[in-house]
Amino acid sequence: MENKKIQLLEKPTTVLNYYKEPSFLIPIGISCSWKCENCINKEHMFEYSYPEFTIKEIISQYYENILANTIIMAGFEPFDNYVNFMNLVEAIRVSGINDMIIIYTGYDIIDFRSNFLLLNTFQELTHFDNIIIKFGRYIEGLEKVWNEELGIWLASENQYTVRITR
Amino acid sequence: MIINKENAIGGLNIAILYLADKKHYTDAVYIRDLIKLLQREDSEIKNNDGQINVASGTSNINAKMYRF
Repeated sequence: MENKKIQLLEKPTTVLNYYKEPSFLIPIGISCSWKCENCINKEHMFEYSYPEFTIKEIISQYYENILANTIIMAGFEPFDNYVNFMNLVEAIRVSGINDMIIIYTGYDIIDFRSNFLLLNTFQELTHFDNIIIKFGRYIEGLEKVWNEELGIWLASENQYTVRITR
Repeated sequence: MIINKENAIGGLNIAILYLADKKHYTDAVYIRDLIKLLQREDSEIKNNDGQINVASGTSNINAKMYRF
């Protein structure tokens, strides 16, 4: 599986604004159900292809990055790209990395009850340790909200986090 | 340029992103730890005038940082 190529929105990079400490952002989602007004990734909306990386390359870059001890999976929408998304999560854990993985999704937790694919992916995620999910899409015009768990301000007040495994 | 602690941290955060992008991770770790020191409520880094002095800095890390 390590040589499997997956498309990312852009190359993995160090970020400071998804968690209270420097983190390794893997923009795994290359499609999105949401069309949020003023989307953070609007510059990527009309691209026809995205850069490809092998899972091995992504994991190697994380190993090399001694600054970051947390992995962020964001998008567009990770759960709309669930095959690559789950392959990557599994490969990270199989490689022995047990650092926290924070998944940024625009779905609300209620959406997972009514969608078989979402529920199935969610159940698979519970097999892996140390995972937090940030739920809720960005809604323009809502107040930002402080999130104690992540130690940052989230973009709109409908957003919240759930630690699904320790 | 004399700026306050919050802006100093903003400037250091920019330095972290730059260093990480250039894969100078050891230096970036050093600055990360420096920020942690600064973030302690009782911490003070002062020059001879008793003020924090950073050559250049801004807290405006990234205008899009709060939108996901």
